[in-house]
Amino acid sequence: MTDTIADRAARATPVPVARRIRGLSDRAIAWIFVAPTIFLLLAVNIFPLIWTINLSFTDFKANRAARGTEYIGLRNYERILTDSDIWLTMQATAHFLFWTIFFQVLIGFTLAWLINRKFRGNDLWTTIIVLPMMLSPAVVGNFWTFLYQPQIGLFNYIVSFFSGVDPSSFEMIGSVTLAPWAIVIVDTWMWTPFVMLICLAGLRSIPDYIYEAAEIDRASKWRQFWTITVPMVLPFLMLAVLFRGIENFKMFDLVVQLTGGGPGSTTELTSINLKREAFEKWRTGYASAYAIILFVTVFGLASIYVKALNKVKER
Amino acid sequence: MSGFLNGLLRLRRGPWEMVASILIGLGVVMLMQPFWLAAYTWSFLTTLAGTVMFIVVSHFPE
Amino acid sequence: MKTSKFLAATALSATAFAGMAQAEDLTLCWAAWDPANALVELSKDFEAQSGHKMNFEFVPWPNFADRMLNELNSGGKLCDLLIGDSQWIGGGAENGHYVKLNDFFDKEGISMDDFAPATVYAYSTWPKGEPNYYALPAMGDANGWFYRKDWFARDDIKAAFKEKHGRDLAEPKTQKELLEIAQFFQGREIDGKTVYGAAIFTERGSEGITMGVTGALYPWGFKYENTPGKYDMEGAVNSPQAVEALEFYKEFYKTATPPGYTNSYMGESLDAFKSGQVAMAMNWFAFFPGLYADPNTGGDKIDFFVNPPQNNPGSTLGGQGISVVSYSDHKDAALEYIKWFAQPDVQKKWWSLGGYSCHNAVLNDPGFKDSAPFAGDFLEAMANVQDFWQEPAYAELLLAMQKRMHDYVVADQGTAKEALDALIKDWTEVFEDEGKL
Repeated sequence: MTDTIADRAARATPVPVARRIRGLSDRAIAWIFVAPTIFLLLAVNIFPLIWTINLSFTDFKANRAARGTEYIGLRNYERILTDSDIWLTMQATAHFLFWTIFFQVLIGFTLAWLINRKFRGNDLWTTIIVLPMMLSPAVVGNFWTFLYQPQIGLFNYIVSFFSGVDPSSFEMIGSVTLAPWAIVIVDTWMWTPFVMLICLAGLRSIPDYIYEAAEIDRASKWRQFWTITVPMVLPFLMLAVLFRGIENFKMFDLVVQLTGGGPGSTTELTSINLKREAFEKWRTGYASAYAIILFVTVFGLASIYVKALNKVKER
Repeated sequence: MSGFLNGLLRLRRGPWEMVASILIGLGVVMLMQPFWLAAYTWSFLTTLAGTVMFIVVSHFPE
Repeated sequence: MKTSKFLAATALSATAFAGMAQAEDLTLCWAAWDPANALVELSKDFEAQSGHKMNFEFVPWPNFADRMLNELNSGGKLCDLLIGDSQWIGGGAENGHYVKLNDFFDKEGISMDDFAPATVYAYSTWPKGEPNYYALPAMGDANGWFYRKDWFARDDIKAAFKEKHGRDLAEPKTQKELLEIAQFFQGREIDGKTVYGAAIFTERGSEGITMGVTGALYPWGFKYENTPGKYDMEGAVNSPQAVEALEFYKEFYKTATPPGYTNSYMGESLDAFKSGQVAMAMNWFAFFPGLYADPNTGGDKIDFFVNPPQNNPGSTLGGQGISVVSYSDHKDAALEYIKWFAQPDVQKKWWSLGGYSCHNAVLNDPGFKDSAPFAGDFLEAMANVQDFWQEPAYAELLLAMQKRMHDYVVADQGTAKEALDALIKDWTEVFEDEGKL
């Protein structure tokens, strides 16, 4: 008779405990195993969320805990939702979100489609294209401030080379009209490869025989693209949009390094504004309400996305 | 269209989820649109209503 | 002879702190900049005398407030000694971050009368002007100006200036002259290179543009309140003088600064000057020793002037006091450091190494004015300094001002009056939350 670990464990279990365990159903034992994880989730996710909701009805300040805290009802929400400055940060976020996703999907898909054609060195090109994504956002933000420098910046120089305007006549970061586009350009530069990779995975997953069958049916290339390629890649594209959308809704590091939210507040995205309220002004209660508003928005959007994703998958 | 209304009346999941999604979408657009401050003010309630509704109706039968 | 004094001091402190002779590890926190390196050098004497080991935690300016205030708010033990910014004193005192030093000063015979009154008021007291001391003035500082003396001395430039403005090109005596000179240099060719007027502070993220704008506001007679301590800002913050000063700063930014300096603070100002892009620049006195020593643009190519007056003299205060953090486990050793640092001899050496001492023994020394090319300007500046709010809620007040000023000056939104009105609204809200209004 071999003496397995289980046997030894069984023998070592004190009799009262053993009796109790023997009476448990499989389901109960499963619960016991899952319990630590659930407990951990409750402790690190659910509890803070509930606590944040609680704080959002108070005037608590984390740096001045001794000051005393009062419940002020919905006043925080009222203040945030009637504050036209916060409304402006929402608009800045919308601009950033819309255009980054638009350009990244457009360029990313095109690149993926091009690189998916078998040609020599396409692996090398993939690697080169993917490089920006590997960098730290803080570093990217920092060196693009140099590229955007009106007097010595490469970006301004290239624009002037092609368009003939004086390089120091425009300031990508300093001008109210250009700064929102400056951050769109940098984010697109950095994250288009990510969208490309996902699209590439989609394209590679389309079996060749579908195209061959279409070929036999004499479908034109154009028709093949719209009736085979696009629908088959769509779920992947949705995934990319979902990722980029959520990532950019909470965009912080890149833009802080690049513009610091300036000029004025034109590139002060919601998360930058929230960080200032929470950790520079230390209005913890107010910032909690702010965070709850953002949380509900992202949660709602994510629900729609997940639903849409399931729908596309079913097709 | 009548199928949609029918689904609503019989508390089916599909059409109700559609209503919730539209509410959420509307709330997000209201939150980020640059035209009307009052719409921004009420955006959160709209999104919240949509999200809560979504959670509830996703337990309705198919 | 000096050493004997030091020995005597050591003996004194040894008796004062009898029973805790064992060496301890002290950590001093400050911003990462030139004076901090001077302090490391200076502190070697303290290590030699006390046997304690000094460690340093220096954080770059843009993150300094964030990092250190987090540390204090969380009751962290990283810093035993903190050279915290002057605006933090209210929060440091009211939230119990800093040790109150009155008893210690009395016991050790350290008198605040030995330090320049403006620095004691700004760096040590809370509530303002009351004899409650939470820091020892460590580093006096103010916002000043420096310029290319060699360009100002060139005959062709001098002649061109005289022709244009009918007066000699010299250090400006008023803010408006300052702007005139800056505009004169803007876009001018010097040695085949286009140069610009002046580098000024426009930074959005931390405190930059506020420190720059107040450099214009104070000389125009700006006041935070009509009656000190009453928080009645209407008519003070948005007075006609304040509006004029703010419009002046915007004109300065639009017409006399290099392109691309839309988010610039200390580092950018130094870069602009050292790379020969600008004729003048504003910056803190703390950098002046380093600028003077610069091999390319220092020496006889540079000179300094105090922030010019307009309706009255006025400079923006910088600088810091040194405090003992109340969460420290080594409070006694930290106090020992402060006691050592307060000695006149140490303060003299501090000045000679590049730190701006606030001790009267240094400042009132007849040789002080000539001890450095900027020493006289420093004295003049410190005689008329004004500081931002030092309230416990200073961060909220500062962020509001950063936003309103940057919106108006850099982002071209609204008028100066509207910006200041909005600022009053923001500040009123903060003081209402604080229960002070």
